[in-house]
Amino acid sequence: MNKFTVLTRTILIVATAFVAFNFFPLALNAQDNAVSQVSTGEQFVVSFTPENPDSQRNSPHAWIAEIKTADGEPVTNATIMVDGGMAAHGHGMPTRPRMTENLGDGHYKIDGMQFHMAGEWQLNLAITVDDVTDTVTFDQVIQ
Amino acid sequence: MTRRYFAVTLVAVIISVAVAGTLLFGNASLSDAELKVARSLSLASLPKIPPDPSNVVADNADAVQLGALLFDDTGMSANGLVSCATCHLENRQFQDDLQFSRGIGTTDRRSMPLRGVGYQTWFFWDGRKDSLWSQAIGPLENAVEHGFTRSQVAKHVLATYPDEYTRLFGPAPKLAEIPPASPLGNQMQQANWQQLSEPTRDEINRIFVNTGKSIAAFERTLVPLENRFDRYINAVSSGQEPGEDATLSKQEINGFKVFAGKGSCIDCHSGARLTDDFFHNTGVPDPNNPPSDRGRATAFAELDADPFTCLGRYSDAAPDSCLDLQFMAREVDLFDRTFKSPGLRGIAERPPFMHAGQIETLEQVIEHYNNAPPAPLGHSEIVPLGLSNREKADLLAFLRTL
Ligand code: HEC
Ligand code: HEC
Repeated sequence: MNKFTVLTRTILIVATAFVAFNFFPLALNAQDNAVSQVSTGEQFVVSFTPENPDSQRNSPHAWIAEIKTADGEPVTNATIMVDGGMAAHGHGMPTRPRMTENLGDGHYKIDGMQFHMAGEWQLNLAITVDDVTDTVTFDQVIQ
Repeated sequence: MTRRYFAVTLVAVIISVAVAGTLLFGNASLSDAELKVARSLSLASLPKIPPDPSNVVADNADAVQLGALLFDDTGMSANGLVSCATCHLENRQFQDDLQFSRGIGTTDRRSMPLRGVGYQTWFFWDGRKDSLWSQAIGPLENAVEHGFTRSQVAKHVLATYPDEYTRLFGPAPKLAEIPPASPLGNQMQQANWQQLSEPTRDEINRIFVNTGKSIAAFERTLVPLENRFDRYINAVSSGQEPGEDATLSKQEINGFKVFAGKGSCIDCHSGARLTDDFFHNTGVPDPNNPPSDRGRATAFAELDADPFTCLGRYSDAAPDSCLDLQFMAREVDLFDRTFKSPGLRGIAERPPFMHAGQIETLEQVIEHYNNAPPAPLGHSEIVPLGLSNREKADLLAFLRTL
């Protein structure tokens, strides 16, 4: 490899970095939001999604948690505690959401969800069934 | 070999020029991703004003008209000289340019601009009110603002606007001769309030609240105004060449990038009103020593004790629609000395800044954020930014376009 190719390559790399840095500095993290997840203790398979996809993020609104056993059976007698925050900013949610309704068939309504900032949030669910608690965290990009 | 050498030199020269150019002028165009963020701060992304179910006349045209009269009415003050407009001047973005406002006495916080106020959830710097109508009746009985009492307000409104009132709220009760009476007034006024029967108190409260609901209807019409930044974003996102009153300089565009990037301003000053409508401790100094204003931390007890919230008997909302109050985060420690992020539209035109007007210039505001001093109470959420002088100047230029 002669010194000109080295120079050309260096220039190419610098140029690419330059373009990337100057033209896409604000690009959002395009990571997909996980749809369902296995709880830490592998007790449950959990999904957690907004009740109404059109809700305004910065007003209190409801989400639905769906809880199944590892075998795919709905868990119908759970109690759920929810909190959330942004690890990158060291703050929590502007509200204190609560489970307000057991909708049956393993579905639960969590009301009072609110996000005052766009970006990546961590949503923590603690699910208790028959005195046993298991937890699950969703990394959720809120636009 | 020489040709190769020439090509390489040419590329190197082009890149050096480009780099030097960016260092000198910055990259002044917006990528698609940046434009999307910029648009989120422009009026183009302002949603429709949310309904206020706690106020049945919130969008009633007659209430708007009555509210406008009440807003300017000096007859609802202890000395006959103070109206809402005394501290919220229409031609000054509905604020008063003072560090502390002057009514019957002097306030201990800075007045707030009112455009876009109908979009908010929490009112005052500490959010101790949860509706615009409940906010509006506060100053009337505040000893240093209007210094009036609710019995006087009720009598004044029925006497001055009998037809307007009846048209909106139905036949008004006949109020007997009642001395100045309020549960929040001085000793004599409180004693007078104690003397009244429960039904009379309720009648007075209702007229008092309807006064607030009419003022709120008027305030909901105070929409945010278009600024140069909005016009620029509109032009650029519709693929047009920005007109004369719609251009942004390279410096201003770079300032936007600092605002949305390294400066992290957009973390709290987001959306078309440039606020997240939430409470933060940003370490601003307290004019009093020892510091006395705990901000949001003292608002929860006030909301609990307030008969005029969304959940109270004078609200028109079904209790299960009062979500903001029901799910409100309310840990006193977490909110020590937090204040509501103000919207930044028109910001350059209204010094002094912060809840007690304690920072005089925008340059000093930027220095404050760049240095991130420790909070006088509680914990500041901001961190030093390490902005260069050029970045500070750019940010300042951007703030002036709002
Ligand atoms: C003596 C000056 C004064 C008068 C009179 C006055 N205000 Fe204010 N206003 C203020 C100050 C100071 C604040 C901030 C106070 C605080 O946070 O404790 C404020 C805050 C507000 C807010 C909150 C805005 C927000 O963004 O949360 C509204 C709305 C408002 N005033 C409307 C009114 C109305 C309506 C009236 C008449 C009924 C009125 N004001 C009378 C000085 C005044
Ligand atoms: C953590 C949230 C947060 C961040 C980040 C933030 N601000 Fe603020 N800003 C606030 C709050 C809260 C206030 C009111 C503070 C007070 O009065 O005590 C405020 C006040 C202001 C004011 C004064 C507004 C007025 O009406 O008096 C300006 C100007 C301002 N911020 C600009 C900026 C800029 C520029 C940046 C970025 C360098 C920034 N802010 C970053 C929350 C934030």
